Order: sequence, then C-alpha cells, then structure tokens
Amino acid sequence: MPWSTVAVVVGSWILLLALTLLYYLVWSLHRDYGDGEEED
Amino acid sequence: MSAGTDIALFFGFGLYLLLMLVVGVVTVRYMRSLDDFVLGGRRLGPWVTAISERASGESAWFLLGLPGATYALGFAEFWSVIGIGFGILCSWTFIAVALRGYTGRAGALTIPDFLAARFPGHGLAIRGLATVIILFFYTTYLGAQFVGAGKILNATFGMPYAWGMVLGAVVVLAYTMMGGFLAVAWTDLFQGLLMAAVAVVLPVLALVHLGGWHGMLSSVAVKGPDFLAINAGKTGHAFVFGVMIGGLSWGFGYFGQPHLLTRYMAIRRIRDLRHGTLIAMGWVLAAYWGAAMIGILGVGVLGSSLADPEQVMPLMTRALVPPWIAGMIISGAVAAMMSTADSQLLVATSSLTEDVYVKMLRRGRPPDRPEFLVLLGRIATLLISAVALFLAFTNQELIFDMVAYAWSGLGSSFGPVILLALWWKRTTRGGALAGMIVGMVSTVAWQRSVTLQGILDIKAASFLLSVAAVVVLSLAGVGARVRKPS
Repeated sequence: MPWSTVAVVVGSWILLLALTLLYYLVWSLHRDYGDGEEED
Repeated sequence: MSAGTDIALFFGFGLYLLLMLVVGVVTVRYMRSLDDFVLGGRRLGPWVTAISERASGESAWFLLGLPGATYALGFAEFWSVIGIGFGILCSWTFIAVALRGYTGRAGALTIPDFLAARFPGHGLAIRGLATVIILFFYTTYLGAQFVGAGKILNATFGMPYAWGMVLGAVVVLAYTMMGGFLAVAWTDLFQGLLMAAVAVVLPVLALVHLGGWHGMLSSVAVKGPDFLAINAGKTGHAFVFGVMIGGLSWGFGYFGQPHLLTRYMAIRRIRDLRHGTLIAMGWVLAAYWGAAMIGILGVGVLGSSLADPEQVMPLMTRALVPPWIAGMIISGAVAAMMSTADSQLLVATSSLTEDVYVKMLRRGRPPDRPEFLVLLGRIATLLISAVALFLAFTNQELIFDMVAYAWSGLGSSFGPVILLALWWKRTTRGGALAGMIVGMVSTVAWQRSVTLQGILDIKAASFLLSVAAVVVLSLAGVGARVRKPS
C-alpha cells in the first residue's frame, strides 16, 4: 500500500483529533461562554 | 431469501419504526407554542444537539453513497471524508457559538429570521429571498430522501418501490407532525447512534472475515494499484482540481445548511456547545472513516463486480451477520435517510410558518394564539411532505442529481453570508443579498455546464464566488445602514 495513502488517511484523522482536543482545551481554559446571560 | 429470513429482517426493521413513532407520541405533550415546535423551546442538552446535528447532516448518502464511492474508486475518495471532517469542525468552531449567541439575544427562530435581524431594513427582500432558497432546495432535497427510502426498502425487503417511498414519508411525517423539533431531535439521537454503530461494527466484522489488514490488501488487489493510491493514479491539474479539491470542497457545504445550523440555535446554554463539539467530532472520527472503509472492504467480501456499488453496505451486512441483526443494521441506512428528511421537513415548515406567515403576512398585527400557530405548523408539514412526495414520484433521478445540487446550492447561498455576517462587522445588507443570489445562480450555472465543472468543482466555485460577492459589495458600501447625523 503506498505510503502517501497511509499518510493522508491516518495523518488527517490524527490532525482532526488533535485540533478537536485543542479547541476543547482552549475553551475550557478560557471560560468565556459568549454572553453572560447564558450562564446559570 | 427464505420466509424465515424475511420475517427476521422485517422484525428488526419493524422494531425500529415502532420506536420512532413512540418518540412522536411521547413528545407531543411538549408542543405548546411555535417556539416549541420549530426549536424545541431551546431546551436541548449537548448530547442530543451534537448527535442530532450529525444524524441530520448525513443522509442516506452516508451508508449507501459513500461506501459505494469508495467501492468504485478506492482510497482517493478519502479526500471527501477529510473535507467533510474539517468542514464539520470549522462549522462547530466558527458558527455554533456565535450563531447561538446572536439568535438567542435577537429571539430569532430560523435562519431567515437571523439574517433579517442582522441586516435590518424596510423591505422584505432578505427574508423573502432566504425563504425562497429554503423552500426550493428543501422540497427537492426531501423528495430525494423519499426516493432513497423507496430504493433501500426495495433492495432489502423486495417491497414495491412506491410503497417504500410512501412508508418512509408517512413515518417521518407522523412523528414530525406530532412532536415537532423535540421528536425530530430525540429520534435523531437514536438514529445517529445507530448509524455510528453500523459504521464502526461493520468494517471490524469485515476485517475479521478477510483475515486482517494483509488479507484485505490481497483481496482488493483485483482492483489494480490505482484503487490503493490517494491520487487515483492521476497527476497535475486532474489530481489537484479534480480529485483533491473536488473531494475537500464537500466541507464548504456545512456552513450553510439551515437544518444543521438550527441545531446550534436550539441548545440550552452556549457553554454546552463545548461538550457538543467534542461529542460531534467523536462521532465523525469514529463513524466517517469507518463508513468509507465499508466500500474498500466490500471489494474483499463481495468481489469487484457489483452491478450497483451503492448496494455494498446492505449486501455486506447480509453476508456477514444473522438476519435479525441485519434488519437492525440495514435500519441504520433508513435511519440516515429519515434523520435528514425530518430535519429538512421542519426547516421548510418553520420557513412557511415563522417567516412567511408570522413575519411577512401578519407583520404589524396582533399575534395569533400559540395553539393556532402549532396547528399551522402541522398543516405546513403535511403540505410540504405532499409536494416532496409528488416530486419523488415524478422524478426518479432526484436522488443522484438533486442531493449534490441542493447541498451545493444551500452551502454557497447561505454559508458565506452567515460566516461573514457573524465575523465581519462591515458586511452589509447589499453584500448579503448579493452573496445569496450569486451562490444560488452560480450553483445552477455550474450544474448545467460541463466546461465550468472542468475548471473547478461546483461546490468550491459557487462558495468562492459567493464570498467574493459579499466582500466586494460590502466594501463598496452597497446597502450599508445610513446613520442619521446627530
């Protein structure tokens, strides 16, 4: 199986997972929910 | 197929249909106002929001079309999967929070509502144009889903094609009319989990059947080296603009699908979107790569000569699992169709009731009783289903042509406008109107011209042209709000 296929299919999966976790982490640390009235 | 197999298949499928109707009956008691009917009173938690958005986002294409494409073309089809994955993440990141915040403050129930609030003006042009785009694309898109139901039930159970379409339409119509948005969202939760389970379990079973990874590679060798190559054996312009950008551009569509964007608007609290993103992306990472692998593994399990590649999922299921489980797994494909059809039906309904009746026809008059508006919503649901079913009966080509067409049309008419309206303060009313018109017109033009399709993919071209129209007219100040001198 060509290495380029493995790199794109697996690499894109890992990159997407990493970006998702990064977004979740940044938001967790930031603690700003967009508008105060939504807090309860 | 033996009579026993038939009964077992029907039992699994019948159980699934019954569960959907029960949800409709249970949620009917929560329908007290139009807000309840079209947006569930903004009461959804992160799990229902996220899985409902995913189930609505993926139609019958997810378990039939995508495996069919990888079965026919091989690993190059993963460019579509990658584009879709990143498109979904970008939509949750750049649209969900901003849109929920804005529409919550403005009290907007629909996408035309949001656009009218963001670009206030005397005329009804922006609301009217948005409603026309929604009604046009969704009745045809919905018709395509009913055609999908007919084809799945015909191929699986041997049910007459027309009966399959009517059965699919009646079940969706019944629970949507009864329970409105809440019924749609809760049935989506079950349907979305079923779809993901199928996309994860089926490839694992197939891999075990073929004797692991090396067994799979040797069994797909019959398709030739291009099947395993990420460029499908193409180079230069044909690879970059045809294979790669053609696949990746599916992601653009997610910014402008009203039936997905309303999920963000319905979540209880903005902070729940943080968990919602994680849940939705978990679904994507587990299910999408798996759904694409069904087609690749299908070559090994079923051979390379299927007459209709889109039958690879149901046929592989029947080859690998006992009939009563197969009934439930094939229900996953019907679930994919229904969960998309119900959401589209509701968006079209809310456009007719909220945008056309309440905000255009009854503008400036005393509000109607909430019970009357819920009744009106139910009548509109019935009316739109009838039109969609009529289209399904009269146009059998619908599923192939109109799904991609409507995806591109909605994505490029609304996507750039919504994205820029939320993130670029200088976006003007004139720019928004131009973006919607250019997105719609360029989709129609590209669909009809083979020459244009050879230059750039329809989804990428119409999206980029729409972005250009919004930016140029906004910078030129067309339709900008005039401030009175103080």
